[in-house]
Order: sequence, then C-alpha cells, then structure tokens
Amino acid sequence: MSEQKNKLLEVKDLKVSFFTPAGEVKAVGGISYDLDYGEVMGVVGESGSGKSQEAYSIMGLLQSPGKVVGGSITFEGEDVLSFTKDQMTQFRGNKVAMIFQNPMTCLNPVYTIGNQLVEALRAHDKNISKEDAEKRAMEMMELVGINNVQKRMKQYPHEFSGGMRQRVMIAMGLICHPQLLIADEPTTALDVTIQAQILDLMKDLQKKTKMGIIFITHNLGVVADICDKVSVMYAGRIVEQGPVDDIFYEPAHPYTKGLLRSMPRVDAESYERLIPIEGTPVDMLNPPEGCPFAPRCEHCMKICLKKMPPYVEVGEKHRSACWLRVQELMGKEEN
Amino acid sequence: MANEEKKLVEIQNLRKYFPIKGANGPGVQAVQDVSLYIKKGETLGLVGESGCGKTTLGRTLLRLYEPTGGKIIYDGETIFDNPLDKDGNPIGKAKAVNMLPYRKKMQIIFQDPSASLDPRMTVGEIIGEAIDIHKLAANKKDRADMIKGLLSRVGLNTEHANRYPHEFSGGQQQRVGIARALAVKPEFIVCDEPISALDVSIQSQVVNMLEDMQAEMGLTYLFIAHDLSVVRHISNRIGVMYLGSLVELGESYELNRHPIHPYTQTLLSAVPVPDPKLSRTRQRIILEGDVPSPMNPPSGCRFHTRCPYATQQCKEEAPKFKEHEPGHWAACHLLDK
Repeated sequence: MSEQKNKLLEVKDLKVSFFTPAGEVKAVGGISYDLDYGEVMGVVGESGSGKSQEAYSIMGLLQSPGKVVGGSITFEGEDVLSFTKDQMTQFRGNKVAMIFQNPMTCLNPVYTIGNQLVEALRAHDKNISKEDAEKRAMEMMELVGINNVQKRMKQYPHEFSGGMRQRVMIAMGLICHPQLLIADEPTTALDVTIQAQILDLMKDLQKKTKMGIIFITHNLGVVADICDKVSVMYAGRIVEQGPVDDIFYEPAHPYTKGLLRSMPRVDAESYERLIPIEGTPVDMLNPPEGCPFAPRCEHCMKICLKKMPPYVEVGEKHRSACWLRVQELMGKEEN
Repeated sequence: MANEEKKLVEIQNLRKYFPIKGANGPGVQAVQDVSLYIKKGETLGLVGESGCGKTTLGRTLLRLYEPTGGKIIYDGETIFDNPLDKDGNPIGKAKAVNMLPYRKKMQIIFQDPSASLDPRMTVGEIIGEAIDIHKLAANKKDRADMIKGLLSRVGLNTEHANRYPHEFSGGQQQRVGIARALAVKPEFIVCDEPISALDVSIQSQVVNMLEDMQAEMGLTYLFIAHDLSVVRHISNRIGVMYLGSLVELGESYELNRHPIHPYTQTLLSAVPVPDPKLSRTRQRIILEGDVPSPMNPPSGCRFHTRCPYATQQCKEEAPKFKEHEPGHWAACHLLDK
C-alpha cells in the first residue's frame, strides 16, 4: 500500500461513555488503531471490556444512554462521526456490514430468507429490479455455501440450523460488497465443528473480496486461526496491540501473558496445573485510578496505582501500555 | 488420581426419550443406550456438540430426569433398573428407589449460575436450604458456621451470606453454586458445563478450585463440557458423545493423541488452537452438513450421514461399543476390520 493512500479505517483516541443513573460508565476510554484493506484484526477482551461498544460506534449503532464523547473515526478519509442520518444509512451496508453473535435474533422470523436478503439489497440500491435482486441474493447464498438455493430462498429462519443462519447473516452482510466487515463473536453460539466451517468460509470470502475484517471474540484460539493482528482490550482500553505472532509468542503486557498462561496448553502431553489471573474484572462504574489491570497484576508497582501508563513500542507495530516496559526503557537510556 | 479400581457410578444401557405430544414414534431420543462407569476419585469428562445428549445423560444419571430404560448403580446399590426387551419395550415395572438419601451423595453444578440461584433468596439461605433438607446441622450456630466455612472454601467472604445472587459477578455466582453443591458433603458431583458461562480469566480459577476440592475431599466428577482443551486438562478419562450415543471413551491424553473414531478425529481437529503458527499448518477435517435431528436419527451408525468413511454396512447396522485397546473403547465398523 502506498503512503499517501488513505487507510481503510483509522480510529483515534475514541471514547464512549454510558450515562446511567448510577453515573458515567467509561465503556471505551480512548483507543486508537488502524485497519488496512484485506487485513483481519482481532479484538479480544472479557465481557464488559468495551470490545463490542467500540465496534457499535463505528456503525453508529450505540444505544442510548451510550455516546461517543471524544476521538475520531475516519473511514477511507471520511469522518464517520460527522455523518448525517442519511449518510450513515448509506455508509452502513454499502461500506460497512456487521454480523452478530446470535443469528436467530437478527433474522425476522415472519419473513422468508429470500425476502430478507432482497430487502437488504434494495434498501441500498433503489434502482435494482426485483428479478435482479433475487438473482444476486441467490448468488450470495451459493457463495456462502448454502445448497439447494431455489428452495432455501422460500424458507423461514426457523427452518435453518444455527450454522446455516450464520451463513445467511454473512450473505446478508456481504450482499452490497462492503469494504469492512465487523464480526461480533460470530462463532461463539456455534458448535466447534460448525465454527470451523464458518471460520473457513470467512477466510475464503476475505481472500476473494479483499475486505477488512474486525473480528471481536474472547476465544484466543479463533484469533490465532483467522487474524493478522490483535488488539487486547481490558476495561475499555487497548492494553496491547500487535501482529498475531508477536501477541502469542512475545506478549508484553501482563494481562496478555496471564490470559495465555491461564489456558490449558494445546500440546500438553501430560497434566500441568493452570496459572489463573487472580481477582475479578473491573467494576466499570468505579474503575481504579491508574492502570485498570493493576489490582490483579503480579508486577504491580506504586506508579501503576496512580497513573495510566502510556503506550510503548515493544516491536514493529507492536505496542503495549505498561509501566514495566516504560521503566525498562528509561533504565536503558540511563545506562 | 483414581486410587483404586472401585466403580462408584455405573450405568448400563441408559436410555432417555422425551415424548412429543401428538407425534408418532418414541419422540426425541436424547440418550440412546449408553453404558459407562466412573471410578471412585476420578474425573470422567463428557464432550460433544450441543444436542448430543451430554447434559441429559448427566441429569438422567442423577435421576433428575426419570430414565426411559437401563440400569443405574451407585456404590454397588441399584438405584434404577428397567430392563428392555429386543424392541426397546420395558419388561415389567421399573425398580426405582427413593432418591433422598442419594441426593446427599450425588450433587450437580449447573451451567448458568445466575439461572440456577433463586433471586429472592440470600446466598446464606440458598446454601442453608440444602443443610436443612438433609438435617446436617445440630443447631443454629452449627448451621451458620457450616455456611461460613463453605463460603470461605469457595473463595468468598463470610459476610456474603447476607447478599442476593444479583450482587455477585458471574464467577462469584458460580462459586455460590459450587458451595451449594458442597453443602451436603457429596461424594459425586456432576459438573454440567460449570465454566462455559465465565470469562476466560475466571475459568482457570474455577478449574483450579474444582481440582483442589477433589484432592481434598476425594470427590468424583462427571465433567460435562464442550471445550475440549479444558476437559482434557481436568479429566482422567473422556467420553465422546454424538447424537445420544457414546462413540469413544479413553484415557484423556491417549484419546487426544490417538483418537480412533472418525467423529472424535473431526472434533479434535476443529478445535481452534491458540497458536498462530500451528493453526496455519494444521490440517483440519471439516465436516459437511449439520447434526441430524435426534427425533429421527439416522439408521445404523448415527454418524454415517456425515462420516467421510461411511460404507453400506454403516447405514444398516449400528456398530458395537468395544474395547479396541486396553481402556480405549469405540463404536465404529471401520475398527472391526
């Protein structure tokens, strides 16, 4: 990619807050990343770490009382946050599509699958004839590996299995050829054998279309399988970001290290005791001062409890927010 | 971990059908003639996709669901016996004992901690209820001490006894669920997906706690889960289920190294591994299609519709569950040749 060309997506210091009766919840507390055409970025984090809210704000789907309170989102050089309602409607679907965790709740039970696919297409392309739209819908269904398309088009969501419904959701998302696909835990509700099918399908489609994918998940195995780079989120912040190999083989942040260590190893030949991350996730209403991970961190220092750590480059395109790294760097300079 | 070869729980040809109103036929065939035993002090893992009957098996074994047929033996005593003839019809009346004394020995930890705790009872009342039913406490002080002891055993504060379930996080709720199961000092616990609903960083805490309790109290577990890496970690032996039938059973690491049933091979290869280099080179077996409906399971071997090696024999004849290597059982026609 040439330098002057716009990135597909650039997010700078994005902040999202929820204004609840109990107080402001800073669900996303200033995150930055960029994504290029054809790249797959994994976003990992526990429930409540803000990984979904961050994605919803790109799509303009934040639910009240949630609000973007700072930062910018730039898509192909355009400022997404300044879009009018009409522009946003055009942007969604045409440029960015999203698929969700539970495909059953995302499909309308009283319309046929074909009907819903055609509707998605005609909402964005008013000039397309019904016949053409149906043809495109059938092509799309074939592309995502649904057989017997003629018959399947006339069926209702309940006649599809979970894996098949997720295929329909992917077909619906991709029918307008978006450049960016946001997948919010698309395989979490599926069984492992079905999950393997869907992951293969997504990898295949991504190669064909060169779209960028943001893949939100809590399953590190899935990340290793499909992603080029990874952002690890904790309590609304990206604590570590980098190429997938760096994250798995040279993790810099204690939280990432802890996550990787707490899982049973795949190549374990005999029993090894797990090393858990002690403590409980952060209460987002009363987040601790300083680094949010400090209360659970085994390397916690005085400064960690007082000040938020800055990002430090720990490798090529690999950065981490941890005072431990900052001190290491300063120590080196002094020597 | 099994100190002796004593069978604590044994089931023989256990069967559970759920009838469907207004429909012909036997209904949903959730568990189809499963036989296995669990040795004292061991952990038997049970894996399989959703709808394969693993949860139903766990509950039927505790007689939370009344079995349709088969035999359940607990510690040498038959707690349910309903032999079936060749066509699967019961011969005579089922022998079924009163379960109350056995409830004290056999307990269960549920998957969804928030749904399994009564929202209108305090944690102390939830745990105390089990103590009251089995009259385990001599007096009020004794009862309060027991509750406190249980709470601290599962890593909660003793003052948490006065709180309601909604005041806890998912991980803490699951700890309450475990304390409730432990309240009656059981010997055997069915852990039904105890960590699936928890965050990754909390899962390992609960797994370690279950292991510690087993070592301390000599518990026996039936550990049901769909996450194979966790099941392999915690289990001595693993059983693999497909559409109501047990297809393979073996020592946990042996089963992982040399799965002999085609379904187990697929299942193992489909699990995503948290290792980018390995997942790039690894060959995955992708199964075509979906799991058939247990209302109308395929004839012969239930896996034949999706099995890449299926032959005519697989379509017609159900394979027998046999010991192919010492301690390694499987049901597949391919292995008989």
